[in-house]
Amino acid sequence: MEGAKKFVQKYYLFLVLLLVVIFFSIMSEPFRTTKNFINILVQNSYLVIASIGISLVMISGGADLSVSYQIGLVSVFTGIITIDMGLSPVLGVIVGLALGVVLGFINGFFTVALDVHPMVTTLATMTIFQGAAHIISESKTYFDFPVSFKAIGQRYVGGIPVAVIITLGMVIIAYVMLNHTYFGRYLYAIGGNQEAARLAGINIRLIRIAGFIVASLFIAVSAIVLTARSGTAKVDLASDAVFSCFTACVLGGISFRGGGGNILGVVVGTLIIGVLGNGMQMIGLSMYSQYIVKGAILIGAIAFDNYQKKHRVKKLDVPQTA
Amino acid sequence: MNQDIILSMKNITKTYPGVVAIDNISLDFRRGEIHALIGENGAGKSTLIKCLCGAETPDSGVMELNGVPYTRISPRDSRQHGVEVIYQEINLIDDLSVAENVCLGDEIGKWVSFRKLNAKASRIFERMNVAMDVKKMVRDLSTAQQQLVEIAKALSKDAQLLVLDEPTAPLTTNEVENLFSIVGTLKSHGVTMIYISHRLDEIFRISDRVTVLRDGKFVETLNTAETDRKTLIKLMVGRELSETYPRRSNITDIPVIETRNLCGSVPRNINIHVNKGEIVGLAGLVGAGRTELARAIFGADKITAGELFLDGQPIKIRSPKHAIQKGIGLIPEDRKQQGCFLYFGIDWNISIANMPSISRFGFIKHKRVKQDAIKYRDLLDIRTPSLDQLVVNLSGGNQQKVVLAKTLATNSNVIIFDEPTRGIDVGAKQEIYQLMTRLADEGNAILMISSDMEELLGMSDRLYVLCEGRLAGQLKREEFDQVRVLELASGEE
Ligand SMILES: Nc1ncnc2c1ncn2[C@@H]1O[C@H](COP(=O)(O)OP(=O)(O)OP(=O)(O)O)[C@@H](O)[C@H]1O
Ligand SMILES: [Mg+2]
Repeated sequence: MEGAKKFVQKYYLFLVLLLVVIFFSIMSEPFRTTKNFINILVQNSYLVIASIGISLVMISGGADLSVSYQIGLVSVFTGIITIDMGLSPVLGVIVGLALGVVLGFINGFFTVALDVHPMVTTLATMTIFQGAAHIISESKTYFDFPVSFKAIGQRYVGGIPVAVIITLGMVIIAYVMLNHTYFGRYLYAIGGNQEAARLAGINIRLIRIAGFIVASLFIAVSAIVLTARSGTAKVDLASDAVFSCFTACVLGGISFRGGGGNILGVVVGTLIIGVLGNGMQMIGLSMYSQYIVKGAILIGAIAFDNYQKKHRVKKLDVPQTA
Repeated sequence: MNQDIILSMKNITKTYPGVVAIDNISLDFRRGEIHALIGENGAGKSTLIKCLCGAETPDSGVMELNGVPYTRISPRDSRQHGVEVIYQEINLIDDLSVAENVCLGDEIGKWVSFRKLNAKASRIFERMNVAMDVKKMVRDLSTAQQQLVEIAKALSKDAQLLVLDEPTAPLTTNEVENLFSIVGTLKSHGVTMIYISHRLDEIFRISDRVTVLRDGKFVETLNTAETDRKTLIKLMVGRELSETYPRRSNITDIPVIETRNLCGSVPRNINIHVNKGEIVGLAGLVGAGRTELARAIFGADKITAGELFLDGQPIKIRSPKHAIQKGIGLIPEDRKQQGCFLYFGIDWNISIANMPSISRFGFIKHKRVKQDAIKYRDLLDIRTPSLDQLVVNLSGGNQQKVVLAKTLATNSNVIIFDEPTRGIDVGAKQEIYQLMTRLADEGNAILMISSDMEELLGMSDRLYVLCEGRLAGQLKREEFDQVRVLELASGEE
């Protein structure tokens, strides 16, 4: 009895994912094909990477609402470089990543300098990034990406989609960073108790800015993967990413109060969102019904997060030493 | 004679994963008595309290309040039946005013009238003989002041049974006296009180009976008048314990840290120094600026004027991080807000301030983390089933030990202890005194703040007394005298 309860407590996210998969497998024949499962993975790889980025900020007690238009801005930049300028895709990727660093710095700098909740600063930068992306791209949509660039999102290596390999790599990087480097510990510490963190000799401002920068690097990678997969670059490429990422993080156990959660949870959380999206499409649920379901899930996830805090479920999944 | 029992507990057991916190305890509380509860850190005192007021549900056993038996009760119901608890951990709402916190939960009319609220709160503080601005936000109060608000909050309700879990831990002599006079008044009104404290002299002053717990088990209940300190300690610890303040053997006159005309948020023109091998005490009343001085030296608060010297060289400490790099460590007074990360493991907490030196290229050496945790668990006797236990699950005193360990792990050579033994039991206190002495003998400089006068006089080699932010005097060990210190501290020159 006790054992079963513990098991459920520990793996409830996996169980939810399993239940969702089983549910749609019963409901829809095309859903339960290998091809569709791979499709789900590829489709959602950008979301996994971006959610991980957001989760880094959330662990340190912040949030990043500008994710959608960071993706948009990086996306159109790669378009401009590889298509308008006709330069090498490698350069496109490098500039895209560098841009990520800049955007992260902007978010972090204003959050720290103004000392307000990052919800506020990133709400502002969201609009700024959106506007900037429109101006720079003249609101164009880019299509003709070089094949070598599109390979990032469309090619397979050894039977595995490149996008999935990249995602896996990013998951591992984030995992190692959070569990084995002191930068990761510091993110948790700041989210857990900012004053205690400061007195423990942590440079709060520096680490918070660094957190935003690393997060935006992840988001830039996510933008590149998405652009390559869809073969399109435009401002609104991922306008609903902010919603999906936030839901995935909260669902995955990243408390929006900071200081808790782990990467594996975020990955599973994102997959749940991904499977739900795909499944709902497969069973022919209308776009608008899907919105309602997604909103309901976010509310449910937040309620659960609240419940955990209130009832002091004293087992926040915080990395312990190996 | 059949005593009138207000509350009786029969065969109460409460377990947590890996610990039996309360092991089959039966206990009666007589109406109108002050019943003290003592025992080592983690003995189960707080847990017993939580069971009786409904904050936790016991696994088994029956309780009887005013003759009505029950196995579980909600915190709300227990309050309605006149049980009020002042918990060990401060549970105030930071963003509300003092008055709002005090009156929380009792409705004065439908609409909150702030005037009435403030007036009611003020009356209570007057009764307590405490000067308090009831409109102030709780977050702007010191720990001691917050504790006074907790006490006022409990007094504002008409309790039949008042439980005080280490109410005096953050308080200095004056406030303790005020508290005791209130306790006396309540007693004369027939209120029953359960009183938990690690300060045994308090137990002897106010309690009628005393119950000793050890490792979750009932040991004995005694009439306070018929026992003595030694007996109680032996019952608590399970062996003889010699209570002494060890002396330093390597005191030099080489100043390690020195302030010259230092001013900060409260401190004004402070000139103090601590020599190599020495333990220097800082005395003063609540609000005298002892903590603020410590924080200024540690770089946690701004130094507005004056200078700081480290090893004879002027130095500007920019931040706590800088201080730690320079070998200055601070053990903060408020463990919940500033000292520990409640929802993280013990080993995690102990290593967090020491990250740079236990990692290579940014990667944590997990082995070192474990080693340090084991070292300090043994050194400070942290009672826990495992080292990755979350700190929130530890008893108050054991949490305090984790806070100590976190700073000690940084191997600083100037260590500022701000209320190091708050909530710590007699045995562990001895360990900490030994440890401080050893640190000093190894050539470190120690600055110590304590509201426990006896401890401060016992441990210090020299003493500075602060009064309202200013240095009121300096006493050498030969000149130590409690009355003199209090005079200086209260500005009676
Ligand atoms: N929520 C919890 N989860 C797990 N263990 C707990 C929890 N609360 C208390 N304990 C354990 O129960 C035991 C008794 O704790 P309790 O807080 O009652 O001690 P205490 O006598 O009040 O000690 P102190 O003097 O340090 O306050 C300790 O070993 C503690 O670690
Ligand atoms: Mg306790």
